Amino acid sequence: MKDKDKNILDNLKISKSGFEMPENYLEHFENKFFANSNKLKNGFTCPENYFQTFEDKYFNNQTNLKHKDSGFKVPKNYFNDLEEKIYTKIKSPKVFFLFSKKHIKTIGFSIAASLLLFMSLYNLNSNKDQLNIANIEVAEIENWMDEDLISFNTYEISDIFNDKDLDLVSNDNDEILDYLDDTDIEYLIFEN
Amino acid sequence: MQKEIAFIEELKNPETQEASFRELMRLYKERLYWHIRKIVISHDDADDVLQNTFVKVFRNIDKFNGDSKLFSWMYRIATNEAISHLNNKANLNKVNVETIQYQMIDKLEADVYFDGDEIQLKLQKALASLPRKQQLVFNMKYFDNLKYSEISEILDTSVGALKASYHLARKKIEAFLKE
Repeated sequence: MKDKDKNILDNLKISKSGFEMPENYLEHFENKFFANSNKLKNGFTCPENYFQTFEDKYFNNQTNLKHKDSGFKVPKNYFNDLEEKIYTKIKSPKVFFLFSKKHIKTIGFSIAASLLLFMSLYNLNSNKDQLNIANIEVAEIENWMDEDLISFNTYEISDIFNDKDLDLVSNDNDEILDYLDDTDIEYLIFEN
Repeated sequence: MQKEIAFIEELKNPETQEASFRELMRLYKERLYWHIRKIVISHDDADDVLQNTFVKVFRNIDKFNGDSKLFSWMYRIATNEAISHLNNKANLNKVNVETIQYQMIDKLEADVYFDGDEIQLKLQKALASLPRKQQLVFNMKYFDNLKYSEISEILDTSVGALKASYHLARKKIEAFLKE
């Protein structure tokens, strides 16, 4: 019984009440209400366009900020010769950089790590004075890294070393020295 | 759709490539320019980014597999290029991207290629105060009239999330403009 009652009530809620209104009556109701007059029925008035705030103006009307009304402009005839300019650029020989910025950073890190390793090995066979000098160098490198002059992450390292064995860097000292001999360290330091 | 597939084939074919690429630029240069311009603000930067965008499109058209519409793919490249440009500019100036955006908007009043009024300037400031994603969604929805489904393809974000982003962006901008 209860369910039956509930259904009836639900149906009543969503069914038409029988009352009707003129077609399109609710459309633009607010506009119609305030159109051509800012006088309200109680006699009070308000400033013209008071109800049309500028955000209404820019969000709801046809006069909103579309491309060319956003205030941005382009130089005269900019679009006319653009295709030619781009096509010339495309047709110009492509310059390949031996090292991309990402790779230079990664290589920079590997060099710094190699230097650390090299110095550590060197220090093992050196006297105390030489160890002090080496410490300064290590500190400088650490500082270098602390200041984010070398930034890297695991993905970058794996990306650059995807065809190499990472263990090589830490195990084979000769290979590291060969690598360093073949690399312009000053350039890498400057770039990083 | 068949028309687009044929056009993409022409773009990939060395014999028809030049003519079809010129057609591609003719069709999309203005839309992409305005999209980029609203991100990078200055005309010179937009010009650089637009050129780089087309160069990338040209050089990567062979890799375009048709998973999305050509237009969405180009929009995505343009968006990424514009954002990278801003990031690089920020790195170069040793500030964050937000600061760069505010600095650029501060310069707008003196920009010969900007003739907006006070409200238009304020709208740009309001936009700069939004998180990057909301800025992009607002620009694409409000200025470019893109459909949510198109924005979804470009930004790789669900339509629901985009609607929420746009709603939030509008609320924040309205509040900013009322201040």
